[in-house]
Amino acid sequence: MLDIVAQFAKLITGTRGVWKGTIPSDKQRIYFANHTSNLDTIIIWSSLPPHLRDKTRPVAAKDYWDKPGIRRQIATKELNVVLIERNRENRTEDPLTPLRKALDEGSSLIIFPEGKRNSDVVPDEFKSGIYKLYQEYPNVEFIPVYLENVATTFPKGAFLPIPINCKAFFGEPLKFDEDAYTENSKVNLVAFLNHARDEVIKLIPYHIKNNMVNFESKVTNGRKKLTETKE
Amino acid sequence: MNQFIVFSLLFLTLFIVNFGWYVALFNFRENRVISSPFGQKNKDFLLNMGRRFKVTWFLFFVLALAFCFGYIGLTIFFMFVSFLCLREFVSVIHLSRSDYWSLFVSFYIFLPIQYLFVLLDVPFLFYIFIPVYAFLLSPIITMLSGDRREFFERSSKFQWAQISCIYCLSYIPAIAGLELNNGTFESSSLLLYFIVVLFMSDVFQYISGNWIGGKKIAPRLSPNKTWNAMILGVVLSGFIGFILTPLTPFSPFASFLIALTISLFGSLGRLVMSGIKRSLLIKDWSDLLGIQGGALDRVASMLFAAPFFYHLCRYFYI
Repeated sequence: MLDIVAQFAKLITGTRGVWKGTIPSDKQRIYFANHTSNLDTIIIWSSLPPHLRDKTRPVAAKDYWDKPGIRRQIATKELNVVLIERNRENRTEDPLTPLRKALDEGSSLIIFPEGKRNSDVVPDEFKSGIYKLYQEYPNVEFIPVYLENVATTFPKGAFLPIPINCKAFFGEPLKFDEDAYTENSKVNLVAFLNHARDEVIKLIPYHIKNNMVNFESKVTNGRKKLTETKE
Repeated sequence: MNQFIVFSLLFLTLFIVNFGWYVALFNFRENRVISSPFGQKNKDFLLNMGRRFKVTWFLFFVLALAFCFGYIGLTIFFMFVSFLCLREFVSVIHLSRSDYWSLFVSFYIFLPIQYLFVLLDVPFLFYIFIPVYAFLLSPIITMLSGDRREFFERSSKFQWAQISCIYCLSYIPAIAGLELNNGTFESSSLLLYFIVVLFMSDVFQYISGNWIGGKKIAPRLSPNKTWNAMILGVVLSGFIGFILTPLTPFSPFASFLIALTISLFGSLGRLVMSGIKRSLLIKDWSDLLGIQGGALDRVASMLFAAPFFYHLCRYFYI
């Protein structure tokens, strides 16, 4: 069923995976991408080779997907989603527990570290969960992914996807040398999050970067600053 | 009958050229050629040609199939081409989510309606629907999105997308629906004439552009195009038009002149489209056909030539 959905999405959007810094591989991986639309998961998933799709599970918000009806059906039966609790008040356990469970089972994950949809070309600042996973799973490859045009294809509140050529750019596995930074874990956290975000921004195609008037200022404004971190 | 002969001739020519290319490349691999018309430095050119052949064969068979189904087949085929072109165009013009409804209307309403008018042969509506109604409606929809950023740029880009990828392209199947000589003439062969002349014009200019130097037409828009190569290409396509006179209701001399005209507008139009690509900082519209670029790269010359050809026929041969 989902293969049909993936093929349909490919036909309409002409989706293509562009492997810039790496090639498809059986290694356990965490793909982290900019989050622009509900179609994001399908786009990344369908640009992976078929044999990798079964072992790659998207991570999605529980408050959105775990509602009775078709959404839950799609999320649990078809996409095999790992559900994550976004709401701070409702949390009883560490929100990363279901992710750890999936990683321990050997699955690859698709995560969106911004935490919510952002229709802009440049991604917003990242949430800290990705750093914890990076420290706990040194053997897992962290692949930055940039999604082009998906926000226009299927923005918030849309009911039919628009045929626009979408592309998923896959970058080099993340390398972050922790010793090069300070002892202070907060400083490391901020440095890591900005580094991960920069790796995604690096993948933005040349013509988009250069046709945007305020590209550089958006990149700088979106950087996480040390004073703002609370955790 | 004439169409069948032309398709067979095309098949034969393509086959011979492809075979010749294969022999030339084989000699290169064996390092036996020193005195060939190509020369060692043109090896890249030869390899490049090889990839082009595959796409050309594919397009040849698809087009032949569309011609088998007559006017309806051709309209549906070009509607699909139009869809691909519009998709390529809007993919690179930097839209945001507030353009969702403008895109929605272009793809799901304007495009099918325009081709419906072509199919049902409603000339009046087919002439004015996009340039008047869509021209006025699409900025209204863009305005309703409430996004003020680059409003003028966004709405004009949409109008360009609609005029070039829907309106101009829809003239191509409309050529096959012309009723010339009081409806006694089979117009789908006129479309074949149009396509072959423009295809040969592109081929001539591609080859002569590689061999002939001279003054550049617009070096900043398209670095390889020279006036000499263009004039040679246009004149040679005029002769192709002369040879293909049996496909048309024209006299041989008129056929020569008309082929000259469409080839001229086709090559100038190709330069305009490449100027648009330059200003968007891209090389090809997409990578749909691999080295050949996208669908819009293939039909760029037809976009500009089709309306001229259609109206020339309507004025003088109705």
